[in-house]
Amino acid sequence: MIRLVLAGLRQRKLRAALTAIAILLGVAMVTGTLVLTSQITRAFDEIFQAANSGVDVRVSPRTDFEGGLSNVPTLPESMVAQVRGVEGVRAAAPELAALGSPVVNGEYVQSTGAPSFVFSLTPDPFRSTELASGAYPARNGEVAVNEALAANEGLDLGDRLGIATRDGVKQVTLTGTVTFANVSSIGGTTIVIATKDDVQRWFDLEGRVNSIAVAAQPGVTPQALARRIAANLPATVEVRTGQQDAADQAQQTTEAINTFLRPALLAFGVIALFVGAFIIFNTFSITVAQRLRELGLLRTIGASRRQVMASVVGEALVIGLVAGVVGLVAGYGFAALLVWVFDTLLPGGIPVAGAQISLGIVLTALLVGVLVSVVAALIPAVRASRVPPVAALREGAEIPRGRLSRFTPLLAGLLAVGGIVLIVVGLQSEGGATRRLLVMALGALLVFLAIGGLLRYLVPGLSRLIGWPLERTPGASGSLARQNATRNPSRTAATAAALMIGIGLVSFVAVFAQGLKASVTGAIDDTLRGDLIISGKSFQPIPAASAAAVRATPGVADVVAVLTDEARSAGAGRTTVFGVDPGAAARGLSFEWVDGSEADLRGLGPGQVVVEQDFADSAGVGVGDPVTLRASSGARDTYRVAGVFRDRILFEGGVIASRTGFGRLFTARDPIFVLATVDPGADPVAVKDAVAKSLAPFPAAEVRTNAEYRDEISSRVDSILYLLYVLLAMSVVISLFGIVNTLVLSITERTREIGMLRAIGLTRSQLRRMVRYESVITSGIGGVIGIILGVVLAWVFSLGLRDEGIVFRIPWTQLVVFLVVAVVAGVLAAVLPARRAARLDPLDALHYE
Amino acid sequence: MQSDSRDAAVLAEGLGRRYGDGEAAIDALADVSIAFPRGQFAAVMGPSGSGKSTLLHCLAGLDRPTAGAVVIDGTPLAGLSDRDLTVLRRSAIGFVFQSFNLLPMLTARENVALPLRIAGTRDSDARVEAMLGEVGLADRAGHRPSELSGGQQQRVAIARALVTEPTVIFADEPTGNLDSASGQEILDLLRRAVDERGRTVVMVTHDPRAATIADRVVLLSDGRVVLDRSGMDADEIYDAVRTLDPA
Repeated sequence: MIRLVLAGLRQRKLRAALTAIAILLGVAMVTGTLVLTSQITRAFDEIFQAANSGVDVRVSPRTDFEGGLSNVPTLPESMVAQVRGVEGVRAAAPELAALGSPVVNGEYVQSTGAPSFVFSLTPDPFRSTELASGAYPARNGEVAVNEALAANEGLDLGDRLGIATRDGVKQVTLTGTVTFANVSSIGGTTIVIATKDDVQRWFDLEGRVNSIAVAAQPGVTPQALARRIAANLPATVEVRTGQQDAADQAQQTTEAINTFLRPALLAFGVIALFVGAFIIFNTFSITVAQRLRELGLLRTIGASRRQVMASVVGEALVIGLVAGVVGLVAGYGFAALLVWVFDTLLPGGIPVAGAQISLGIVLTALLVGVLVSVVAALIPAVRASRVPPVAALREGAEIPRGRLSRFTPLLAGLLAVGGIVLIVVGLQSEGGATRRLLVMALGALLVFLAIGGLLRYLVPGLSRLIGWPLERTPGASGSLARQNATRNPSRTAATAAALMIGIGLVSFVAVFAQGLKASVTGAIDDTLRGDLIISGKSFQPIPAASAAAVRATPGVADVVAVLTDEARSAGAGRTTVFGVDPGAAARGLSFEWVDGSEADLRGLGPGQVVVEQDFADSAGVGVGDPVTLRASSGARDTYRVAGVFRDRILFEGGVIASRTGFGRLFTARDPIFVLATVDPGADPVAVKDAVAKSLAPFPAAEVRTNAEYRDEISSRVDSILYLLYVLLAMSVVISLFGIVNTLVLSITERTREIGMLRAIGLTRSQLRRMVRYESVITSGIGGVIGIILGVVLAWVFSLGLRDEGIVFRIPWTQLVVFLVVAVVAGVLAAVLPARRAARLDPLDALHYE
Repeated sequence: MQSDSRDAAVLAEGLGRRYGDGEAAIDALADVSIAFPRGQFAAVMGPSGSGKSTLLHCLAGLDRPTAGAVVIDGTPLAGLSDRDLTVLRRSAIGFVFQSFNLLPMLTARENVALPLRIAGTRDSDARVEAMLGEVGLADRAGHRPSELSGGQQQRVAIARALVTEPTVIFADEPTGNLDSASGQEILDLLRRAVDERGRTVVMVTHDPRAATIADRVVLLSDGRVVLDRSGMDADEIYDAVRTLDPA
């Protein structure tokens, strides 16, 4: 039997190759994801290992949880001496880390996405960097930067450059360049190393340090030393060994990658495999139907039904194995492609270590390839086993239909209903986002399967619709194509269904993103009364002094600086807390009040907060109730709710406190954004230019009009959208191979017809056109149904997320583009099959039996 | 019979068709010169492997001869591009095959209309209906091949061959897959195409009874014409074939 399988595959090389490609690409996406995510986690491991090299013990402020961006927990510098005094300490040094970009030739070095670090110089045993050239800063006003930054910006030793600090841009001299020891790539991250005093002055950290690095005396284990230091210091500090610190930090990023990036990328691999499975199923269904005689012959010469089935499954197994092996190799290519995509679409890129091969990845690739292939071929294999021996002798014999096949529409209907129920349940249910998404994704999968099953009943009608313009073209190609597409509806349906999935998901994200943009920009219009928004260029907080500079600009009437940090509260869990000047906030922000009014915000006392409705609901509080908030430092305080407002985008689920009330819990001093209102009658654009001038000392801050801010948000949504398009494009490509496969098989099947058509006067170009039109009809069906399905799914999602402020908007232009893409895919898919058909010699074709 | 050969519907001169080369070369056709005048029903006969199908394919421009020339309706086939040859087949030639070769997804009416649609002819409905009536299938116009008997399918095929009003109709064993009653109907239809419409029919057959309806019998053996006579009756044809085919 195995010999038979292999011989069969050799005989149909093209089909076998096309079929293998269908899963190969999915396998490549899955293995590529595993390769890439392990590259990223290892890169972070390297970075944290390097950062902790030479550090036996690290002392840092204790935090209960990760605070917000503006949260910079510190220790008193005096603690360094205290640590030095502990027995067994060989050396201890203060460490400071802040965020601040270099400014070269007056140009702010933008590294949106990746952080721009300013580190204090630490003495030798603790140094995590290696000098590449020059020297470390010896005095204030000198810095060393990472080698890539110097190279990219054309900086030479001795050059002057600026550092954007909390206190404006500081001019310094470059004395050296460094590499981050043993780390393959740190992405777009920039590193500036300055003296401790400079860092403290620049970032208003005089007398404070972020952490203390400690080296042990020979013979003292880090563990023992850590215990001893901890015993000598207050409980507000955390003492960990360097190893543990590195592992803890690495684990945080690993966790983020394993719980978000990896599953998100894997999802696209699974979609690609799902599309591939459709194609395998379809290809095997067609070939089983074409090989009736051969299969019947096997039965007449004594093969059992089980053996016939095994021969089909065996073929799928071999194809799956080949796809697994080639997919594994292609997976490494896919990982490299993803790195490129991230670097292109996400400024700053991601740190990546060298690719490695592991047994786990190899086994995953092979298993996924074989499993998908075999499972998809099971139904055709069962069908093959039903071929009666008499099929060998009789032309036109048919496979007896299975007992269950007449229930297919019913089954598909049930699947569709089940899928929709799952989506609604996922949308409505409480609980983790991942679980809800999973439930909804499963629902969407069932809907796709169901439509795939029902599509055959729609094929005749849709073919007539899509074929309408084609049938109006001169010659018979158009109508022949339409009739060819409809003569075997389930074949056309399964082929179109594969494309439908890709186009459907693309349409879904396009519609969803359009709604998201509309909601966000709508919320900006509704909530922000001001004319200008000042925020960091890379999601970082902006120096408090920049807010003062804005306020002092002529033409600016009013300014709201918004501080933020993370807190925990009973009931609502993780909560964002905002600190504002109540009077300015009431003038600059416009909320929809559920309970209370703007007057409550204006008159907000230090012990009061106004809360967003989502917070009120999950914490179960209303006006007059107490709310206890806990900061990451462990500090806690109780506030009274003065009002409940609704804002689904900017302040969703948040708590707004007065600056004084905010200061009771949090140390953040720098606003995350600043809103400004211009003088009545003043031109906002002119004032914006003036504000931009005032912000010159703070190049990290950027001023935008509300309209520009809206566009910026839209373009951020767009760049995520494009990333999704790229990932979903793979599914479309896979379905393209499915169309090629089906056409090639159909042409083989219709060889004699083609010979007849050529004999009675169909020219080669008419024949090619016939094949191309059939392809376009198939891809058009996939496109039209996919777009409709995507829009409907997005509509259901937007209904479910109406409470979150997500609206439903149809991006017509993009949907038209998708339809064009589908049609073009059809034209492309037809190139090879059309050429094959045209090459057929009419004489041979007529003799073909 | 061999009147002015330039007026012939189909003309072959020194036609040869060699397969393979060197020692293993086989001459399926060797130096065949023959003319089929307009309005003649000719039967081409011969044992298996005699070259009768090859002759038909070469005459119809489906196969390229390795020697000699074919002229259809005054047009030499040599030197025609694939496209021109296709257009010539479309306009001047009709085909009837042994295995009907109808498109299964098309109705009888659509199958008959097919050559006209391929040619982009407009307003052909009346012609198609008339053609279907002529072969006696007006009431079956909406049926698909699977709903028709073999004889009916072949009648559709004849209607399809005649609808473009071709100069010559090539029929390759048109009765081979039919019972004798249906076969006779087909032969009668071809006969009428010659008598009433002045078409030329070249029919390959191995059935001497079928050949009796022809005006002329051409007998091939080993790629050569060994007999070319008119007005033979069934017994004469039987005898002629039997002398060539000992089996």
